[in-house]
Amino acid sequence: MSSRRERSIVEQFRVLNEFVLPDADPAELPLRLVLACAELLEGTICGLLLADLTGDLHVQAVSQERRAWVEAFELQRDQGPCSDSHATGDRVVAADLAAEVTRWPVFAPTALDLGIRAAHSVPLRLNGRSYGALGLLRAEPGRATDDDLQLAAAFAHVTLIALLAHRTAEDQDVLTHQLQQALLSRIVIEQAKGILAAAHDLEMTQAFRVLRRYARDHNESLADVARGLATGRYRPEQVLRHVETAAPHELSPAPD
Amino acid sequence: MQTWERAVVGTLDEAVAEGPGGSAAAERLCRTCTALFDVDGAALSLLLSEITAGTLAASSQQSRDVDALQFNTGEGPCIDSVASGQPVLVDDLRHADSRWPLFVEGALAHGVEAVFALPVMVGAMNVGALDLFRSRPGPLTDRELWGARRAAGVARLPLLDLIGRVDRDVAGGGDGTAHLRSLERLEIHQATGMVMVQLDVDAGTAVARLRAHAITEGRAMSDVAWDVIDRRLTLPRDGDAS
Repeated sequence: MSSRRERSIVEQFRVLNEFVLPDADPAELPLRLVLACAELLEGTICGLLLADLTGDLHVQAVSQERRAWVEAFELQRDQGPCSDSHATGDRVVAADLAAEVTRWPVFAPTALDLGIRAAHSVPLRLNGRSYGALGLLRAEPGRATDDDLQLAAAFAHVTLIALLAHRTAEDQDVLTHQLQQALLSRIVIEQAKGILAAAHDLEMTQAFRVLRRYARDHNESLADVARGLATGRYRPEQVLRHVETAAPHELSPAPD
Repeated sequence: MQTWERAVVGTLDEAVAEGPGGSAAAERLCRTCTALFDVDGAALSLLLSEITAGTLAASSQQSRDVDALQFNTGEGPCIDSVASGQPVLVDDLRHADSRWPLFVEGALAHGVEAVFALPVMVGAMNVGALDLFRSRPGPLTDRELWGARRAAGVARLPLLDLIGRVDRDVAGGGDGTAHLRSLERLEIHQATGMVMVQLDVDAGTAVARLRAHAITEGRAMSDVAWDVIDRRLTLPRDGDAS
C-alpha cells in the first residue's frame, strides 16, 4: 500500500466519520460513501442500496450518475451481487459476468450489454441484521482483491453507523425508522435536483452542488431545503440566485 | 423472504396489476386484503388535498361507509396517517373516542372496533391511505403489519391511475408490477422534480403524469424519465397526457 493511498484512505475515513457528529447532515452520506470508494478503488463505479421497512432495496447513490451505471444498480434491487449480499449477509464476487448468466439471468446479460464485466458487493450489516449493500462495478473482468473488499466493507460499516448515529437507541424499530428517514430524504433530494435542473437548465451534479451550497450557507439540512423546493416554500430562483452570487464556482459543469 | 411473505407479495401484485386499473383495481386490492389478513373490511382513499379527498374503493358497502365517515367528520386514523406519513394503528376504538369523537361513535355504530390506517406514498408525498377494519379489538400481528405495508405499496398504482386520469381499461395490465418497481428508481425521482417545474404540479401528480405518459406510449417509465432528464421530452402542459 503506497503512502499516498494510505493518506487518502485515512482522509476518506475522517470525512465519513465526521457524519457521526450530531450536527452533520446524514443526507449527504450515501454520496460521500460512493465517492470515497470510487476514489480509492480505481476503475470502479460504486453504488449504495438501502432496504426499506418491507425489505425492498432502493438505490441511494451512484458514484457516477450515468444512465448505464444507474441502471446496473437499479437492476440489483431484484437480482445481482447487491441483492444477494443483502439477502445472505455475505460478500459476493463475480469476476466475469459472462460466466454468471445462469446465476443472474436478468442482471448479468443486461449488465454485459451496458459494458460492465465484473460486479462485486459487500453487505451493510449490523448486529446480524442486513440494511442494504454497497456494490462495485467494473468495465474490465477481474476479481476484487481482499484488500479492496475489506476497505469497501469498512467504509460501508462506518456509513451505516453514521446513518444510524443520529439516534442512540438500540431498538431495532428506531434504527429501521432512521433508515426510513434516509430513504425519504433521498427521494426529495433527487426531486429537488430535478426541480433546479428544470428551472435553470442545470445538469444533475450542478443541481446537487447548488442545493448543498444553499443548505450549508443557510444552516439547513439538504433534506429541508429539498423539501422546501418540493413544497413550494422555496422558489428555485431564490436558491440559484444565492449560489450565483455567493459561490459561482459551484455552477461550473466540472464533475464533483 | 419466507414462503408466506412471497405468496402475499404475489397475491397483492396480481390484485392490482391483472385486470382493469383505477377504482376496479382498488376494489380488488381491498377484497384481497380481507382474504390475506385477519380483518373484516378494507378501504382505499385518496387524500391529495382537503378538496380532493374521498373513499376510492372498499371491500364492502359497510367498509365504504365507515371509511367515508372520516371525510364527513373530518377526523380519523386515515386522515392522521396521511398527515404524519406513519401508520395509525388503533387496536381498540373504544379507547380512542377522545381523539376522534365523531368518527369513533360512527364506526362503533357500524360494528367496527379496530382500525389500521397505512399511508400510501408517491414521490415522498402521502397521497392517500389504506384502511383495514376489524369487528373486534386486538392488534395486527407483525406479519400482518408487514403485509399491510406491502398492500399500501401496491395501492399506489390505482391511486396513480386516478390522479393521472388514466383510462381504467388501459391501466393495470401486464406492466402494472413493472411500474410499481419503477416508482422507486432514482431517475423517476429526478424526472418527477423536472415535471413538477414544467407542469407546475405537486410530486404525486408529476409521478402520475409520467406513468400516464408511459402507458399511453407503451414505454417503460424509466425510459420516459430518462427522456425528460436528457431534455428529449417535455410532457404536455394541458391535463391530457396523450
